[in-house]
Amino acid sequence: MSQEKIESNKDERHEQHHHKEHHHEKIRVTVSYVAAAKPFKTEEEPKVTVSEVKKAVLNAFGLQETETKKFKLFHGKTELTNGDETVHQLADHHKELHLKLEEFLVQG
Amino acid sequence: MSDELSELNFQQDLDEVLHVEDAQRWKIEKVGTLEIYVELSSVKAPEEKFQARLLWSAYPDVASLKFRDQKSGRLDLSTAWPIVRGFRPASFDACVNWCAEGFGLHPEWKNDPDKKWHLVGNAMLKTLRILQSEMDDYFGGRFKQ
Repeated sequence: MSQEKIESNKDERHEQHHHKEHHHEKIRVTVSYVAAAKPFKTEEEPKVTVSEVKKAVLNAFGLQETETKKFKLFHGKTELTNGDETVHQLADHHKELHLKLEEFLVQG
Repeated sequence: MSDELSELNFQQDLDEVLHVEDAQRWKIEKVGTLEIYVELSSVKAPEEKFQARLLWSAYPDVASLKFRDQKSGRLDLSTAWPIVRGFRPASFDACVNWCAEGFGLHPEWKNDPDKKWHLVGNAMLKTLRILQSEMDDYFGGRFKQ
């Protein structure tokens, strides 16, 4: 095998190893809510979904969703509408994820 | 809710508000049993100060929101108001679902699960953070007559 090929294989293995390691690293998730003085903080496996985070957050803040009352999670200004999205996908290779739990504001 | 319980809840939440990080942006003065003045500004014009008056008839119900002219102490000056969505400086009120005046104008909001006031957590902090966020995101300057 040529030296060039060996180096290329090494790089590939390193890349795969790095990717695997990165993909299994826990992600620090912080969720703030206007009526709570302290944000909810947790460390989650990358495969944990938005729905699972939301469930934990509502529980931590003592909130309940009903048929007619829904809370929404936001990442920046973007509402998270896909409950199956994982924290890994949202964090986009970062180790931290900051979300907001928001209520519906209206003006007449 | 009894007056005494209202006062206890109010004081407990005020103590908590004074220790949150956001409070660095606010100058809060307790001026009555269930009443505070809050000086704040928009991130878009930090030098332009406004003073909100929040008054609860029972705590933690939704608060009455007015803006106070700091020189005269008057609550009936439209120029004390910032231009923010839902605010009606000419009527000295705000038509929003996070202050008492809004629910006065839209009584139907009280029965709408999405729009009604949810009594969970620190109501004072919730009101202040919403006010600050609206000031930051939708500020259009000081109202001019």
